[in-house]
Amino acid sequence: MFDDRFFLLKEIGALREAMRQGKFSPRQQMLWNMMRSCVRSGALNYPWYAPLVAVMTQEKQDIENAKRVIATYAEKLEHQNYCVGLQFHFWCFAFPHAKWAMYYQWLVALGAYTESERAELDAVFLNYQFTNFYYGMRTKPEPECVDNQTLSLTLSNVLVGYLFSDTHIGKLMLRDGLKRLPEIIGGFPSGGYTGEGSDYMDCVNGPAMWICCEALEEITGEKEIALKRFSPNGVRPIDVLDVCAREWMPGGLLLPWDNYGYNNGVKAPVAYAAKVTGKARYYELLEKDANWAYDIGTGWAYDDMVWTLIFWPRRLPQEEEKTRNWYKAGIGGALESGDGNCYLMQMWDESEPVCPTRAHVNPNAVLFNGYRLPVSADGSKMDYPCSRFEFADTWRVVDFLSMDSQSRYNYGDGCLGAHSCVIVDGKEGMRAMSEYPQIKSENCSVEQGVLSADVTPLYAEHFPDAVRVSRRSSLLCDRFFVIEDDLEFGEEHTLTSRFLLRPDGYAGEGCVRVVTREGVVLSLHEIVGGSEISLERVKNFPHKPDLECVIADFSKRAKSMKRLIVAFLSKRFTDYEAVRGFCTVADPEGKLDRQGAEKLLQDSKELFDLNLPPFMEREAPICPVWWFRKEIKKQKRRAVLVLPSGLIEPELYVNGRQIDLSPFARSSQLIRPHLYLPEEFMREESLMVLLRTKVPTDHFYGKGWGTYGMSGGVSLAYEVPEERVEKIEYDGKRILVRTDRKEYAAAYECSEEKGC
Amino acid sequence: MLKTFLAQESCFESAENIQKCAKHPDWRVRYAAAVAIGERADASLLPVLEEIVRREKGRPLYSQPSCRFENAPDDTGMAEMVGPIRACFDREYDEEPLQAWQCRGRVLQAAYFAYAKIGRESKFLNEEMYRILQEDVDDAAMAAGYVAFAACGGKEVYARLCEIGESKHYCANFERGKTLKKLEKTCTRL
Repeated sequence: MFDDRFFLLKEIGALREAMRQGKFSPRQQMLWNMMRSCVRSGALNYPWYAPLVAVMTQEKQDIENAKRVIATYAEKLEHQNYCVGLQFHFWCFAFPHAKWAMYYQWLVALGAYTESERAELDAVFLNYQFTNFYYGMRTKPEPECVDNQTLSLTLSNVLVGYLFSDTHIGKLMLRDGLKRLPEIIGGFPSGGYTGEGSDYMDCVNGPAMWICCEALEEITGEKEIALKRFSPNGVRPIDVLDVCAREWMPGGLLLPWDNYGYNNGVKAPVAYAAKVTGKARYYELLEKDANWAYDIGTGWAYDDMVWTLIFWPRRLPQEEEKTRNWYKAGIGGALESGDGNCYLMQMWDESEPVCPTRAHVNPNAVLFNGYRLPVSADGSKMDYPCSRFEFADTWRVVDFLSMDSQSRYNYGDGCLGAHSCVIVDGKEGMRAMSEYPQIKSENCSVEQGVLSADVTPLYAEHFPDAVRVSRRSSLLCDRFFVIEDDLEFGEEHTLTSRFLLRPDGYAGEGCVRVVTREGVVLSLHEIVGGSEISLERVKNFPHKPDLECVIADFSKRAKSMKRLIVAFLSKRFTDYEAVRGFCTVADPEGKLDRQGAEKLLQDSKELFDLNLPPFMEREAPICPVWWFRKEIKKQKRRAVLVLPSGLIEPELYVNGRQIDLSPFARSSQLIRPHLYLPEEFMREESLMVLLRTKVPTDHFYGKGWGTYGMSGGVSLAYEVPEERVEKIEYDGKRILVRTDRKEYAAAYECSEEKGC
Repeated sequence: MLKTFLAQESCFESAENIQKCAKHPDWRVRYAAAVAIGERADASLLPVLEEIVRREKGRPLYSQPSCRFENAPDDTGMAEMVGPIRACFDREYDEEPLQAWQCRGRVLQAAYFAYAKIGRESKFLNEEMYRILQEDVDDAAMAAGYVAFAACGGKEVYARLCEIGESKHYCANFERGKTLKKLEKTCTRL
């Protein structure tokens, strides 16, 4: 193993210098403070930050911390051998093992080990890789297997093989890994999306792709690997990273298009994309939408923040793109108003035949986001009891989830009916039963704000008389959307345009209204179609963000029809005013009561902004419970108190009265609770806010599902009436939407009778 | 682990070392020996390969009961954790079954891939591969078995594989499809 440089840390000198001279950007400084204070407060609580902290400071205690982490990892391996995960899902263990080998190399380069210590640890890392992950890589059919699993395994062999390429076994792993890696990158679909949903794109493929680029540059000496096209599909690593970035909706949540539903964005792939392209939109995602208190295993390693700091772009981009709309062939696209308040995504990525647990059956599904908050529902029930989408023919029995027993589960929520699509004759369990091209054609213009795709083949498999099933979404007046379903069959069917939305929904005449708990309103108005509208409330689906949803169906019996729906978004709160500087008290035992905490808060001089758990904001004890207090001045109006997301078992007191936070118990993990304070506070000119919350005290608090800390700070807003649609007129050429505030008029003609 | 690793490394240095390591008490070294035979693709080492597979036959590779872990879940959630973690079984077990559970089909996989590289038929290895395909337990070993059959098989193998039918495991089934396709072509030419 070489020890003359730090593997993949090409710019460590500049990074150290920036740290020493206080030349970090504010965001870099925040990240650095957070990682350093976490490690110094508890290295085994935050082990993934320890190696970088050691390399940056080169201080004795930081190096000792990192050595302790590596030693603990090495001791874990013997016990890990008996884990179901290692034996049946070895790819999950391959990637982090390679990362730890890399971090071990950093310590070797720091001169942290004696020769004999090195010899023993070299053997541990190499042997484990060889017997588990070289074996694992060879299990995956070559060259056909192109997915996050094979990528993880192959990349791990390249990394560990390269680090130990002075051994026979290292050379062997490097040779076989290097043979497969370019084929896997090039085997990704040309748009860069593997169909595995945001979770696998953001947590495995994206984080693997930047390492592929950096490692291949170091190993082969080639430059700008991120922009290189790989055979056979001509995909570039930047295409994969770009999909990761496009998954970020306004507000920072990722598209919920797989089993795992909504989640926060992963940062390092976006930082790398910003670094190698210099494009403003990547950088802006990090600055405006990233949740810095959120962490999840990226490639099963909690080092997203580490690499975000390392890749933070030094060259700040100047130019904005003209439009935020995007479209990717074979995948989908998004339309977004200039202010980011109105957002629609339409997807037509191909679904997984037979058992769609990864790439769900969502042909032309649309998702709405309003005022940077999600409005649509999608995902799965996970482990919650919900039989709504359990179909008789979608049960599956597997024996790889436990060492000595079988597991039975239903994958019906991956099928058509659980998505905002067109449903024919109520066939909700519809899915492809074999491989074939599922998209007939697509016709999109990001400049004109139009997304359109014909997905007839998927329907024709089940309804041989299907002539046309296409959907076109348009953003008009930079303010509202029109969704046009163009449906034609040989026989009469019940044709339903379905929308899955967050609670709560209400049906009116020709219209559905949804008002989220935060006060975002979506109204759907059918202006062509003459359908019957039905609403259904579903409990325990999807598992995020609310553990429930509303299904809105627009249905009609017809052989052929066009259905035009206007989607209008508005909100019931004013712009946010940030509230900063809360007196803060730690509660190490979690035993303080309200009176005790208030007494301590009176003497507290520690002021925090609640953007991060206090010990992540600056050096402070790692403590699981915190109390915050501040008097907030307000107008004599109904106030909306917006709390941080990620609060755990919170208690809130306003002017001495406890406020019920239970309606937000579920959604607040991802979305900041918007509390419409009781009317008794309307006349008050100030609010004494007292908040108690738990915070995660290590990487692993979320048990693999993501660790959510307090994030986003506190804001104050005021209740206002929403902008309400009063009338919509359409004469075949022009749509007029009249609200209680304004008229919006735009030319609109239905698509011709030949699909999109 | 250093001694084990040095023995593993030695397999890639000479055929004599392979022969010696093929009988090593540690399965990790036998695994390396099997991989190294594949690297050499030397038919004279076929008896050594058979010996490696014969030894695996008597081991309790797949009898592991569920295990409880201190400080970690028994699933992929463990991957990102660092520790300290401890595996706890329902009772104390001897070293041999513990080692067998760590090994599962690793040595067999390496042996069957090596057999594929050698490409010369061994009746013993064929029968062993048929046996594990019928048992349909170990995806990795079975997938390698199919790769080996594709390299060494003919008409008779094709008929036997058709009799065995599909596997419930993804990789094995995928390789089965490739192997049958290849053998079908070979048989047609014959």
